Amino acid sequence: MDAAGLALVLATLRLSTPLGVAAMGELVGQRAGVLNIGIEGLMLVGAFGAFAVGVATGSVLLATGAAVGLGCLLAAIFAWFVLNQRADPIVTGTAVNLLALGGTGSAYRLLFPPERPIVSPPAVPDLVPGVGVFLLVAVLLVVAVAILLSRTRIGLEIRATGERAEAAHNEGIPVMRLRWACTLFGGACAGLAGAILVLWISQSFVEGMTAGRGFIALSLVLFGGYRPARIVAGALLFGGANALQFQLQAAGFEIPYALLLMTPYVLTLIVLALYAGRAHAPGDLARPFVART
Amino acid sequence: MLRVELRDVGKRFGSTLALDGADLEIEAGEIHALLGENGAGKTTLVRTLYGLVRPDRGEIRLDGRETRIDSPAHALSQGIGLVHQHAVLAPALTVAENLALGEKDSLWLPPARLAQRARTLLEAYDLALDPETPAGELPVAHQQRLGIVRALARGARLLILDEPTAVLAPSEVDSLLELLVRLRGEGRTVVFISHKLEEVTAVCDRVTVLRKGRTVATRPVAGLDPRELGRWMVGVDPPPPGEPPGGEVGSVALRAVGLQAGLLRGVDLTVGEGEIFAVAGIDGNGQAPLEEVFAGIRSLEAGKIEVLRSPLALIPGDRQRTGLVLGLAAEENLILVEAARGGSEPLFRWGLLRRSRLRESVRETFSRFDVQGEPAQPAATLSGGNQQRLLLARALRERPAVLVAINPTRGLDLAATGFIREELRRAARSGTAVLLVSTDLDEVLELGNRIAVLFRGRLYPVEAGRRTRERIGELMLGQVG
Repeated sequence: MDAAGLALVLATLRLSTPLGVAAMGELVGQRAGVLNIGIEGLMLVGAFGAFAVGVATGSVLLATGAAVGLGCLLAAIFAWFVLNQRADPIVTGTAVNLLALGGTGSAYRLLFPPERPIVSPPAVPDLVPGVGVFLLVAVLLVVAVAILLSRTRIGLEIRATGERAEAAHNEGIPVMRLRWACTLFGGACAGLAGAILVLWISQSFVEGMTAGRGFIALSLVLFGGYRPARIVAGALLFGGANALQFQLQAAGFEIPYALLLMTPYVLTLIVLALYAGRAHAPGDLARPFVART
Repeated sequence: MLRVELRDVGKRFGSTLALDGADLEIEAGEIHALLGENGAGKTTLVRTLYGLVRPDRGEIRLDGRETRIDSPAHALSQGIGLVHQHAVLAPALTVAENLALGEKDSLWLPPARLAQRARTLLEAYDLALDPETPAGELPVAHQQRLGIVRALARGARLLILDEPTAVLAPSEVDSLLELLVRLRGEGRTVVFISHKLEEVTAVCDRVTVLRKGRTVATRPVAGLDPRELGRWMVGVDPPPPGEPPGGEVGSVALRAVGLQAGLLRGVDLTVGEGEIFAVAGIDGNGQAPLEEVFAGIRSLEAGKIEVLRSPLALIPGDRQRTGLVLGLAAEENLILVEAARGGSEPLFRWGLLRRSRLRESVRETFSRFDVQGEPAQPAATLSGGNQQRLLLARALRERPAVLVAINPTRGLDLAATGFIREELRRAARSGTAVLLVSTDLDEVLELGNRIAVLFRGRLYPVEAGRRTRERIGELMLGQVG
């Protein structure tokens, strides 16, 4: 493989990783029946948390921990409204996205005013040159989620809860607790994805830097038919298209760059829509649950 | 073995008093029937015992110890299992996965192990099912049996069955009753909610009758006078079965030729003025497409429907979903059809609704059809019986020449059922051609001048000389010869 080819592969892996990680969290939540469209916002607070703590401490581990923690915290707010108060998940998720966008923007300007010198968070160590340890974490996460859902009792309970919460409850499965746990797991994954953006991919924080990646992860879950392998394939496709368009931009083709930027989004949606067909969504997705009357 | 007592249980849902001091005593190792009209509180009472309903007052004793049961998990840990009328399974999960739901013994459940375990259980209860089939694709009788096996697998010593036979064909009922006897033989206790005397006398040891949320009586079944049971249930003698309207049948008002749509495989029928043509059959044999083609919400793949007299009115089969707009007021529901026809005098003027005229007209209709409720009340807040009366009133208000009625008394108590049947009879006597599609065998026998059975999308007429329960039962199961 020549140098350009290798660079393309590495860029593909790098750009796919946060999508895959965020999508795994969303997948687990949705399989339990919780539709969290606030994933974009969760990623964003994760990114900010990783940046701020990374700059302050210089520790990748602490920065990542902060991202995961903030993702969980915001997911907990979402869970309380949606699961306990039975608020509409679309409205609540939108509120979470707006809160994250405004909150991280303000906090960034407060903590890092323009007159301060430019700072960078620490970079994640490489596994092999060009491949950060986050890739290994992501691969382990995907495998773990796939096994959890298809081969364990808890996975079965999660799927039953998302499919027909009433049936799960009738069999003594703690529907509320499971939904809470899965939503927090989703928040942790989205936070981690945000950390990956900052500590591996961009080494900086920019307002709204997730740029729709959360929504791409959300659609990967749907169009990937709620199956981990297909979701990963979708993430790689998006990452690959993104990497390619960067190279095309760098090579100086006479194509407006905005068009190139758009390509991965359009391509991913078209391919997934054609390939996935009609996926079976969890039957009780986004439906509130009441245990006793 | 488990002995259960419920004492003085009360529960109110909004304005409805579901339980008003009900008692239930279940001896270990018996089959105990719970009998009562719709709305008597049977389901609420057993859901209390299973931790699905939080009672306002009363106590539960298990083997003499007072126990608070606040979740199904707790009920299951006490050895109590409940199988709902429509067994609650996760439809997209497989048979094996549904059977494993709630098992706590191991974390590692690979598909092979699930299937192995399911096969053992299915074999033990003579269920020939493929463990890999999604549960939602099974016929309802198998889903129910799966629900029972699941409860037994969880170690239920007391099994509660909520109206299990309502969704079953006669032969399936027999097989269920056999299973109950077998479970009793294994030392388990069974609580069996039923509407049918024959089932109670066939297998049950004792029976408790509920009426209006209170316990009327608990007696051994042996030597019980069925008429007395009926009296306990409804408070007075059950009304004698009525006669089909016996008037002159006029010319054909409704004709269907070779209807094909969905499950329907060529249905021919004619209904004359002044007669009730009753279509019996078990749900799922084409009732849904039959309703939909007459409602005009499904197009025919072949054949045609001729409406020779008009207007045609419809009483849809699902009052909550296709019958009423639940959020609209009762009076608005009542005039939906008239409004849809363009809003003419006297209810409308220049296209605007005249509220005072409406109120007047609605009050008249309400008292004529005995709808208990306020005209301005949202339809959702009416009781089932009054919702159904509202549908009846809407259909008959216009004096239709043709009436298509789908399960017009499903889930109603005796009083509402009697009223609606009498109104259908009355409509026929005044010349309306009535097409009645009903899964209630009594209703079909009581009302139909002619009867046919819908089986796998075809209509089999019941021969005039063989108009018996047994013959219709045979046809329902497809024994056409």
